[in-house]
Amino acid sequence: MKTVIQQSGLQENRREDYLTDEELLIEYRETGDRDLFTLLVRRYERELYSYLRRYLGDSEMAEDAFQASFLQVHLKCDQFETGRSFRPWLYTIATNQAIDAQRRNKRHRMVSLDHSGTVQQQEYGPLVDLLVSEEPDPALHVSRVERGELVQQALDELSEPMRRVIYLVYYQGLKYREAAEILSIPVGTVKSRLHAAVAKFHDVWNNAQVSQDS
Amino acid sequence: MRENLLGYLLGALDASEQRAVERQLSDHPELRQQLEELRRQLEPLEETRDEYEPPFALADRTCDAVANFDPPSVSPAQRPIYQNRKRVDAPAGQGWTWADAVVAIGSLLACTLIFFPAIAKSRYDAQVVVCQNNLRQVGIAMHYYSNFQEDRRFPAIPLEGPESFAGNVAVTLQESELLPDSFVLICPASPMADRTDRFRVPTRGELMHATRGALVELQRMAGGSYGFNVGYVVSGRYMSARNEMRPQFAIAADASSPELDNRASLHHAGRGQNVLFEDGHVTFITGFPSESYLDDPFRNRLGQVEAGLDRDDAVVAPSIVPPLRRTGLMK
Repeated sequence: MKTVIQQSGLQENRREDYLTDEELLIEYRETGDRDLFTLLVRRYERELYSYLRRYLGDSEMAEDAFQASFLQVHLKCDQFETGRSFRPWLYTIATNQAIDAQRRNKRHRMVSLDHSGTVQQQEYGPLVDLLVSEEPDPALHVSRVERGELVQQALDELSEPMRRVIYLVYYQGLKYREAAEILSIPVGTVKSRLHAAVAKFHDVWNNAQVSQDS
Repeated sequence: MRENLLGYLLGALDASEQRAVERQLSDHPELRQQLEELRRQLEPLEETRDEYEPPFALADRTCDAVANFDPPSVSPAQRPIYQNRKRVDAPAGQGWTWADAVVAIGSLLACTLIFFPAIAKSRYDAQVVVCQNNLRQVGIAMHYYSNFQEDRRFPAIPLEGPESFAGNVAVTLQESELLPDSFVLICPASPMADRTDRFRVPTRGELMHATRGALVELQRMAGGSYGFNVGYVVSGRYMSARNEMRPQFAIAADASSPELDNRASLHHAGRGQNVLFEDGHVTFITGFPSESYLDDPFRNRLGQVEAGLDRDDAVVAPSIVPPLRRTGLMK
């Protein structure tokens, strides 16, 4: 549960600014005060959108899923149990919305670089051109954006369950037990799956570097 | 230990686990090398850790959308399915509906035939009747479902993924709590009737998380003994059938078998199969085509066990069959 931040002397802050997420939701449920709901949405605007954007690989789908998630928060706020943590509950809803969105649109992640093969295959096309350089470490000369796209491509080589734990634990900073609650799997499975995901990502990434060197 | 080292690195452990790892690192310096190795493996990901900038006024627009939320205008994909079956058919104060009457009469007849052998010509006849009653209840569930859809379509089957199989219709009906119980999906004259203790309709979560081998079994089991309509393709678009109450359009049936000619069912001693039609009636049919039913409901007009070629081309496929086996129909 988030702690309340005590900020004395800041008269301009409203009372609700000091409420935890859980308190905000419960009070919204009891009073219907839209300002409370708005505050909750704004608290998670960047974090949750970023998660959905990364998960879905598409800004439009991420925006739709973001709105759908908070619509579900509104519709299901009476099901939120006192004592439960809001953040994993929100992520559970958002993850399900993302899965539904993928299913409805039947779209996979788009790799922005125009390439003709997978990381392991020889047909590496333009990616090879980008990485070719006379410098000892060609990767240093790839722009930050391009490198990010290479990372995403490597992540795309992982299975969907592996990507989910990486998004939740690595990118969103959730605890193992929170990710386990969101994904409805045991904590041990989260640990082993993340460990395997990182190891596989490392192999895929290294193979990509080896391919461009050969 | 490596898994906890990774969690330690990412701050994903609980406080007690965190302290335990710190003690281990203090007592076993060699673990620090493993920690460094993990840190190197994560290095490429570090550059992508920045958050995405949300679209302009996303929070405000989201709050506006929630404030203006109007349940009847929500798209079928977002609409919560239903919460009270009786509210659909019965005005306040009325207990029985036509659906309840159908079920009650069918159940009474079935019980009569089973418990009074002198009346029933044979156990075979009783099983046909019970099976028909089951399919009527499936039909009621599908009818209710379509009533709540803006486009009045039956449950859709995804074209890809773990839910891409005909029996996913049963998963949707079960999830929507429209089936009186899952055993209505079992024909008493089918092999599955001898294994009811092992039967249940899987959840979506189970399908999404199943391993490959387990997924095949779940897909095979999900529809019970029955096959379901797998929709049709028109102008390159796939869609589930729309409920038009057509008396000759099949939506479910005793699952056909590839082992028999013209895909008859192994149920009922292979002598025929019950077919549920869109208008709710169930008929025991001994073969297709026949004088009464020209359309083969187990194959499309190309003779394939997959989606129909137009809205009138009904295809009822066994649970495990996907709606499209080839991509040709989508071109």
